Amino acid sequence: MNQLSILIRREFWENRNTFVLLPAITTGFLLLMMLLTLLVSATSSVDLNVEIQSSQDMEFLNDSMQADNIYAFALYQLEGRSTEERVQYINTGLQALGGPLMGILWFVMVFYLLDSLYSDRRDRSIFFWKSMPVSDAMTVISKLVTGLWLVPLVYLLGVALLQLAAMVMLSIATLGTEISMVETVWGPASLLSNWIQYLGALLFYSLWALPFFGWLIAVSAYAKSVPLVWVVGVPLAMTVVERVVVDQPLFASWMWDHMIPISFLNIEQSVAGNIVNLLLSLQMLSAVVVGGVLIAIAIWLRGKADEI
Amino acid sequence: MSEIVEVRNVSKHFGDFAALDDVSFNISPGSIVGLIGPNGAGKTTTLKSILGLTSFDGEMSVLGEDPRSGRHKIMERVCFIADVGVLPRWLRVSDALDYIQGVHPRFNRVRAEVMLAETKISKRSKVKELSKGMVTQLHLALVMAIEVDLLVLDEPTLGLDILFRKAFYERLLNDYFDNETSIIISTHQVEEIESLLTHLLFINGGRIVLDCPMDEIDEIYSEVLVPPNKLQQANALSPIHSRDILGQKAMIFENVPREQLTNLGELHAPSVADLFVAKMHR
Repeated sequence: MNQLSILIRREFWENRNTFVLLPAITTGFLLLMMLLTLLVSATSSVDLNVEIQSSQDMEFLNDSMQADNIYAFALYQLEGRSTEERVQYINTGLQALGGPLMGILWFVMVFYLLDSLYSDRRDRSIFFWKSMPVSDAMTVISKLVTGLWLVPLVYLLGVALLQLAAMVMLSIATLGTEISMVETVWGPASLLSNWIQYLGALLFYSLWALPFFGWLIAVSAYAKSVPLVWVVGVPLAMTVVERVVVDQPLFASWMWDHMIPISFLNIEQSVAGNIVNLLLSLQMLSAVVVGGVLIAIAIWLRGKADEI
Repeated sequence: MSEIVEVRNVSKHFGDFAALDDVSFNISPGSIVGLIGPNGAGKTTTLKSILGLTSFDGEMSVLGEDPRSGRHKIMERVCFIADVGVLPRWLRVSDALDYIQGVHPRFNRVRAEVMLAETKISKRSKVKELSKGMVTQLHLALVMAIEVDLLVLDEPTLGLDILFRKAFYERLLNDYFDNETSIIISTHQVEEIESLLTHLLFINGGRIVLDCPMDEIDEIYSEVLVPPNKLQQANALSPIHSRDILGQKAMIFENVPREQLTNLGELHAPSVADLFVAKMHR
């Protein structure tokens, strides 16, 4: 356990830019934009107005064009709606706020795992790492724990911060109006349960997409050059072969199902009841088994690994 | 006490090329073994096999473990410095200390810090900011703070200037070696380590061509400066090597009794470098 924690710290030292700086800068940039909109009372900056984006349609957008302050406009839209509508409205907006970070996160996870057992073979530092009393299984596990759980947690922290900031700014906008801060904004938002859902979704996703991430780390341990070609090439070839031979994408559809980016994961899937059903499903079981086999292969390959 | 390393009939092939060809030898506790051979002789492959860093055929036991399956256990009691810097470029010196402290049960951090304090290496530096000599100093300081039974050095001073090389070996012998630790050093610069060694292993073309304790060298091998008039007599004893020195021949004999050699000319023990040349030419 002690060893695992220092191995994880080592991963963060090596990848500080993508694990810490990138989400920090992205979060900071979005916060700044939100703040600017609040200060300048930006007119019709639809892109930044996530509440509008996620909501109904043209008529709505037209309204927003005329509004001179998106926060005021958002409040105006919230005011006079039923509680259910408010809940849906605010929560969709909050989730949309996480969009950019979740999008970046997926690429960071993919390229981190793909590089994790490859780059140290290239620069020969594998001989330093392997000269330490750390088993190959421990090495691979530390990279999976980092990539699948801890890095997403850092990004989720950014999302949480953005959501909190949006709520605070909406609250500030209520000042001086007759709108009730608690009833209109904080009540329906259910921030905490939103965050718990994110954690559930993250855990769910790490198992659901385990074949994909297992495949990435196995390729990373195996490839002698351009691992990305293997990662994309083999599944594509398998899809084509299956199409030609059996004319039905049985395996391929299963495979592509488990390759979805994290942001495509429907957050509703992770609602308690659904998650239990899905966890026990054949789809999920097969994903965990295939992922586990690929991880075992990665550990075995790492044991035989030499410089390249 | 049993052997630290036992190598039995180990071979390794890359396609048709035999990097190691039926190699066998032992390393005893407390010995300093020089693994000496020309470039491409199989030195690095031998050391990497001992460390479990590459696969091979045959039998090997390192501290009782098969390196192919027990690498991480072996590494608790074995340290390794490779021919070129293998410390990752992005690693910070202070983080390297934290890391080894975290994963290695036998790391003495205070000792490493004391040794680093004697160098110009700043703890805030990253490896990529250090010169090649400093990277080797750093690696040596890290490794020497680990209490191990076997230290494996693969051309540790390659590419360093003479001052660094001298300091490196001095440090190794004075601060590290304590008769309980064994060291195996590979090099093709024989002269530099000759005085340190207790055992010689010559390797050429993937085969061990000499396996001999240092103190038996002068019993088995003799070098004689033969004047021209005694050449025929000397050649009859079939020297393994001869070279010209100031009009005389310096000949090296293997397993020829001294009594037969003394009347041929000036007799002395061959230097390791000369013996190396003699063995490599056979």
